[in-house]
Amino acid sequence: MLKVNNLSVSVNDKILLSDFNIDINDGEIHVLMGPNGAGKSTLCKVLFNNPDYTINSGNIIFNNVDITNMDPSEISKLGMYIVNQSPISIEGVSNAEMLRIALEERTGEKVGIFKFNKELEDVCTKLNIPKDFIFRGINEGMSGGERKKNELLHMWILKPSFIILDEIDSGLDVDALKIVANNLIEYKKEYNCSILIVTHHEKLIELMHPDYVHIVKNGKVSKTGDYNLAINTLKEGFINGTLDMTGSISNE
Amino acid sequence: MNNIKKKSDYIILDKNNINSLQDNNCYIFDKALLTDNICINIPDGYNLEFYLINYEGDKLDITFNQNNNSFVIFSFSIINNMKSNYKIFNNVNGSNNKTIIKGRIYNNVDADTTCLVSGDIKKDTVNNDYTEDVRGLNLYSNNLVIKPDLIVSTNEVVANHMVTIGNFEENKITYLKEKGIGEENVKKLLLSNFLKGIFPHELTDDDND
Repeated sequence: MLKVNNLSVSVNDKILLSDFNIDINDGEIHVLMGPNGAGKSTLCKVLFNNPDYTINSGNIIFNNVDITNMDPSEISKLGMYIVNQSPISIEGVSNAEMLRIALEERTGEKVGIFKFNKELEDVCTKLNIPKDFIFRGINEGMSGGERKKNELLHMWILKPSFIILDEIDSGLDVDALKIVANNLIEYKKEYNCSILIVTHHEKLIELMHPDYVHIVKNGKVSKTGDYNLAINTLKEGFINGTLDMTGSISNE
Repeated sequence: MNNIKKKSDYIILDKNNINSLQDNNCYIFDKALLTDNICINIPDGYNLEFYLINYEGDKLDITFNQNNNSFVIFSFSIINNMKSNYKIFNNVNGSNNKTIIKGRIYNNVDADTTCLVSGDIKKDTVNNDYTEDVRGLNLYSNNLVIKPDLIVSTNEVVANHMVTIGNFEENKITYLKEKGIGEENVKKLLLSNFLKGIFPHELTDDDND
């Protein structure tokens, strides 16, 4: 499904990822952990060819297609989806309007409004959010937790096969975290998607029960294991465990 | 103001009714009216809203005259494709008036725009509340000049004016692309949002047609 090969990335000449490799197969859940500045969020953004970052070498293959230099809209159409750490708001552009255009671009056909609205309402019920979210501006006037749920509303409508969650736990209370995790599990069961999660949240890791856990240090994967690696790392921390707290890379 | 729900509740402002305005109503400019300079005299005590939606002409010269106890909202959006000159004047001649002027100007690829938005709050007036808020979108780095010109000749007034000129925010473009919307549609969506943001929902929502 996703192969990141020897990826090196910089921003303003500062190297953020260096010789980064990861393989994620269909239906797998992977967790990325690591100290602040290790490159986890950079990877998430680079997978979507965020224009703020420069890819110096390596490539990203998604379902046998090289997406390294592809426009983000085309990457999305191939089935990739990202929930950023702090989703922005776009006042005045409603969720429904944005999703309708996104679907029409995907299919080349007009969206049937009645069926579309019904589907949106059903997802609102699943996520325990008010139905008026559908016609509200994107993330407009929403709390951090509501924004994350709103992003999941988009996910259910766009039906991606690969989901990137960059600290989706931030801004979520305990109950909201359970709703979000259960919702993701329900989505995964229905669509057999793969999920890449950046998190240090024990409860989320417990609820999502990842197949693989990767520790990122100095812009590359320094250790890979199963669920127990996450649990041990959370117990021991990056200082007492096998890692120190320095996640950044020197340019030397 | 009125609790208007449908487009049909709005009145088209044309040469037949410009001098016989009805209180508590919302008017949409008939664009044919705007080929000449026009003057709108607001009767004392009237609450009126005026909308000019996606005007594409090269000239605009509108003057509002407010005397006492009136409330005027004027919202306009302009899509300019050529060399154009727009002038909007508001004379506040008396007291206890409220005025809100909101504008959105899109400077298209071959545009060269000058827009003067001028308010004149006269001497010896009291308790007026005056706001101008005009924003320009200049994607092609052409000439776009918006001049906010506010003359205040009294101390007992609340008056403010604001003009911004800019481009689309990159993070919004990236966000919408990540949802699978191509650059062309992203810009259309953001432009539409920019232009319609100052109008009541029912005037701009095609689904309600």
